[in-house]
Amino acid sequence: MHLTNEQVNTFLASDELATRSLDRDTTLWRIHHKNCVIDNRVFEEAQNLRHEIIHWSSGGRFGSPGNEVLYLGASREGAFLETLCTNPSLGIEVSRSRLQNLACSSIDLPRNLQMVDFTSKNLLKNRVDSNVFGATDDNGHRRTYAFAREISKAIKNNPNNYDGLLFQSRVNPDNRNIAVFFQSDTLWRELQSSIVIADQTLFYEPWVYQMQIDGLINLTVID
Amino acid sequence: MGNEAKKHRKNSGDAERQHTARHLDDGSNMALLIDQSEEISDSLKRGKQLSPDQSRSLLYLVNVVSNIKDTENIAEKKKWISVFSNRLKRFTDVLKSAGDKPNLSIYQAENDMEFLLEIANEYLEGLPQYLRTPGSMALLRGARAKLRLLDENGGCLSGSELAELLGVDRNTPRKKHTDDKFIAIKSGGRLRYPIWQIHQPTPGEAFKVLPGISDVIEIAKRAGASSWDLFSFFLTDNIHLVEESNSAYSLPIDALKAKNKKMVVCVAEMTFDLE
Repeated sequence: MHLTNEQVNTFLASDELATRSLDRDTTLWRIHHKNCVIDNRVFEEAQNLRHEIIHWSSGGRFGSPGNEVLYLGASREGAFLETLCTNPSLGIEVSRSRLQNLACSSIDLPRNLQMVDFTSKNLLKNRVDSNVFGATDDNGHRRTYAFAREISKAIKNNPNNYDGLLFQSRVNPDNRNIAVFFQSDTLWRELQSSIVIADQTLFYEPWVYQMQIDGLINLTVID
Repeated sequence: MGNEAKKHRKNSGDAERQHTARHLDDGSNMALLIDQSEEISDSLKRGKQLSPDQSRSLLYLVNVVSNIKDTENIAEKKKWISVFSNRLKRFTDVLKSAGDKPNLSIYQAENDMEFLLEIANEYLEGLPQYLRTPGSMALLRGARAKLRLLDENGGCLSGSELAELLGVDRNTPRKKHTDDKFIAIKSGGRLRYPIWQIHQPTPGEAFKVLPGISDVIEIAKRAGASSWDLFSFFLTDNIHLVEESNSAYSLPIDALKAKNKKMVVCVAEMTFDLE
């Protein structure tokens, strides 16, 4: 059953929803800009960088002003694809200098997070199907980011205090991605203290190039 | 630290990092090409399969030729042109004398750059998968992408051609590019200005750069992106734009031409600010 826009606020904002727990110490991944490196490899001023990694976004698919989210990937490959692939049929086309300005750091969750689950069978339990993620509704109207943001806001307001959303990647459905709601400065500080900062930029990460061999991506690097 | 993170750390050890850096580093590739050029030439003459390092150095030749064109120091340019033209001549002589592969796409190349790309492609594609480095393949696709991006959507103008079109002093385009108002890319030793950034005027209007171009340049620069990323952004279908515009547009440059500056700026932020 598809939700209409009107139903979003009444169901997702009030009912108990199907969730999945991301347990403490689960490793999640985040692509971020580097702000300071030594010889292109080793980051310094790590404290400053932590603010860049925990970037609460008011844009993208699920973020909006007043409902800032932190986007994370369940795998580094998933984070890379979701962040840099804006055209799935083309793959990723990126300059060498941009890859040299990005890194992939990880966060080991400081505590359990209860995520509303929009993957597999829980997608339907939450009365939402993949339409939310960019197809059409029952009336043939396209559902855009605007609708996904409404869903995100409604869930944020749910009295069960869910921590965020777990959803499938648009680029590769096997990848799982996460949008954590900004709930409090406490969570922010906890997450910041759990960051494992990357020690080199994406340009020097072998797994970035390995992805094309694994069939995940068509990577083009413009030098 | 989680298991995956530990594994990541282990996999990203010094040895592997140096290995990857070696494959991608300009200096070492250049040195390798010079060191091995005789050997590569001999291998080609005798029809022997190139080693992975030799293939990479051949691919690097493609990038070096491009770099020579972009070098402003005349003495340095002459030096490298001399070194590489000798080697290039040797490679092409060998390939032309082969003559036993009439369908080789090398012979259909329309210009020097395409020719070099075809040479690199021929040898990289011909290698077993385990010998092809993913970094080399990604760079080869990048070299092809440059040709496509320079040509698409009307192609590019020189600085003087753009100045004439806009009715401004011939130095103005370069100054505007330096001030992050115009998009330009250095190609063939000079700046090329994509014509798609120019607003097509109605009768009575003057030519001018599309509103929104400088906003997107600023966003991209902030993210450490290059002019090539700007070319790619404007000329490639963008999933964020499809969603934001309710499928009205897929190409950012089309949306900008249709006066959707706010939407394009929003999509640029999503693309470059990692949202």
